[in-house]
Parts: sequence; C-alpha cells; structure tokens
Amino acid sequence: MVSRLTKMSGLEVFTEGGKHVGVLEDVSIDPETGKVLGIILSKLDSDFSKKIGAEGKKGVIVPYKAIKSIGDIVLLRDLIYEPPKKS
Amino acid sequence: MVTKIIGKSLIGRNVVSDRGTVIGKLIDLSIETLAGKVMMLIVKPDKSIDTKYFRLNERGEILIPFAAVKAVKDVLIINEGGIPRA
Repeated sequence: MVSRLTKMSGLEVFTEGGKHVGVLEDVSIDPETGKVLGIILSKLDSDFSKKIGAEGKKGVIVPYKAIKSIGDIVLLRDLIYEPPKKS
Repeated sequence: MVTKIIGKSLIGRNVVSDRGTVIGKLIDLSIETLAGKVMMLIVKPDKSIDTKYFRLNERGEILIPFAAVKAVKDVLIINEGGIPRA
C-alpha cells in the first residue's frame, strides 16, 4: 500500500493484542536509500511507556521491522510490548 | 554511518536539480508501507518552471522518484536525468 507522510502522521498505533500504544507522529528516513528506519510515536499510553521504561518521555522511536501493517491504524508486533526482563 | 532524517523536517525544503533549476518546494512524501520505503517526492512546482515536462499527479504536483535524489541537506538535489518526463 502506498500512503503519504501527511496522511500517516496522526494515525493511532495499536499492538497485535489490541492495546492502544500512542499516535504516529513522524517517520525517520535514511536519506541515502529512502528506507524508513522507524516511526516516531507520541502521546504514549501510560501503560505502554511504563512497560518499556519510557515514563515521562514525550515519544519513542519504534524500528520499522516491529510494524506489522499500516492502514487506517498502525499495528505493531506484540514482541515489543513485552516488559523488560530484570537482570 | 547511517544518518537519519525526520520526515516532516523535509517538508517545505526547496527541491533543486543538479543543473541548477529550482523545481519547487517539497510538500509530501509517498511511502510504500509494506516495505517501508519512500517512493516519491511530492513537489509543489515553482512558478518559474514549465510543468509540462514533468510527471504530475491529479493535483498538478510534480512526482519525483526518491531514486533520483542525489543529496539531502538544506535543499534536496535531484539528478535531472532521473526525473521521468511526461
């Protein structure tokens, strides 16, 4: 599917498990190849930011390979929603 | 080193050909969402250029394949040979 940056910005982001994560704010691009390296999420759900240890942060960058699909919403693979392991 | 640029920071930058022609201003990027690749630059044509030599979308905006981009800094430099002619 081909979309536009201005249309992608503002899409709601969910995990495969149906949990709301935040809002797609922007994308990060490699200017050499045009590859999208990641998406920048803002308005993070407090539940999500707590689990990934990003409490109080304005946003996070999610690597593009963690994205399952982008359509009317953005769907993330569940693997990134696992709580960090305590060492 | 992989340099990263933020998509929205590109919007509004001037788009210039490697022969010095001002083409216009970048207004959007078209992105292939499955592969995660920027396909086209969507450029609002400068008043001074003749758009009949360019590939346009239905809104009269110029489409330039990302593969034709030579450099991205304060302006975007486009390899003129890589621009599809209408």
